[in-house]
Amino acid sequence: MTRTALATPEEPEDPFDRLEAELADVDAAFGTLPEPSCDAVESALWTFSSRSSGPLELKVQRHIGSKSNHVLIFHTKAATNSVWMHITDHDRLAPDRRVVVATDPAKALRSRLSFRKQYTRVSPQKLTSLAVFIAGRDRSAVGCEWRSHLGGETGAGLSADRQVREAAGFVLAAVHYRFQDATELAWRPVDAVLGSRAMSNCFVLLATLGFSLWFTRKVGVYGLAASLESVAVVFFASLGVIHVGRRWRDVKPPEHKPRRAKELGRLTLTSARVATL
Amino acid sequence: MTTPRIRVTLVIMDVLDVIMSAPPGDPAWGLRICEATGHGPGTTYPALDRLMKAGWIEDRWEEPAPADRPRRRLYTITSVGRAGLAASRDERAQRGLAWANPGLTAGGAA
Repeated sequence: MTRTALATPEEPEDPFDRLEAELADVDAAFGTLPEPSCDAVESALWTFSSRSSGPLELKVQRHIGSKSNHVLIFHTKAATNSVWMHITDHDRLAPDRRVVVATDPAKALRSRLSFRKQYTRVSPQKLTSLAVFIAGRDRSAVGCEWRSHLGGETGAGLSADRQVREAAGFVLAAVHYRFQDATELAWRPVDAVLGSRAMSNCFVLLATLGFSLWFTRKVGVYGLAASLESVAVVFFASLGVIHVGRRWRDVKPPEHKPRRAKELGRLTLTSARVATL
Repeated sequence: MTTPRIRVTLVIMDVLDVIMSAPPGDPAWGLRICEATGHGPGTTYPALDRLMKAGWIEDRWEEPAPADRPRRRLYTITSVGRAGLAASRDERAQRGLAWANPGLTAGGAA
């Protein structure tokens, strides 16, 4: 007798067993959720009944479950095939419950996988913490403010997807803060130049001198002498930049102080003349 | 030290409108401002930050601190903010008038 003759014909693989194995892998990948409560099951049955036309007598045929995955298989009187109901109890994430009705286990499994990928990988709390980190130590108060924002008007909490959206907005706000800070930092030296007469004059002088040197190297001294109007254009253009910059940044330079006694005397004389007129 | 300039955008005006319209006993806070203006937190909070830096609004924390939820940060408008908003509204109105009827404004100026 040969071994092949003794071997029993291979039984078709039970789809339930296959699903159970796949769900175990899902457990390992995504961790565990709390076991669904009776309310979750009742809610699922009610949802399914309301979707179907007419009353249905639902009878649980088989329940494959672990701590995180519950697939309830129902046999209905109205339908010829069994219905797979995949109940996800995600009270931890959202107050509402989601029911996936699928006619085959693979579809139920795929739906669950996509659902978990969509919601459990983005935690509003983690996003908020990231936003607070980006906002920096100087703005640590926004952490408390943003947590109260997620708590909603009543303090009970916004819905899960809205929390994720709002938390994404916090990250955006934090990036805005940093961008504003960087812009202010970048404007600081410019404001310093605009706010000081000496530095503004220095800027005009350096721009004119720089251009003159470059022009000299390019066309020579005679070329520069021949086109002095270009140098004048650069001089007045840099003066214009200073004036426009002061107006744009709302920076006012300090009042011009007369340095010499003669100048002071001239000023006093002029003001006295104006007074007599 | 000069207060930073503020560019009065539509978001800024919306935020200020909500803060101004809030009753004194129940000042506006982040979520309420977002819901009332229709702008997301990514737009609203930077606007609040700019207004705070410019001294147009001031903040305070909710007192006493509630036990069941985090404290809220409440915003109120300052006198500088009121004056600034009124000035920018006038400026906008004049600009709109000038754009709509340039001859009238040129005649008025002359």
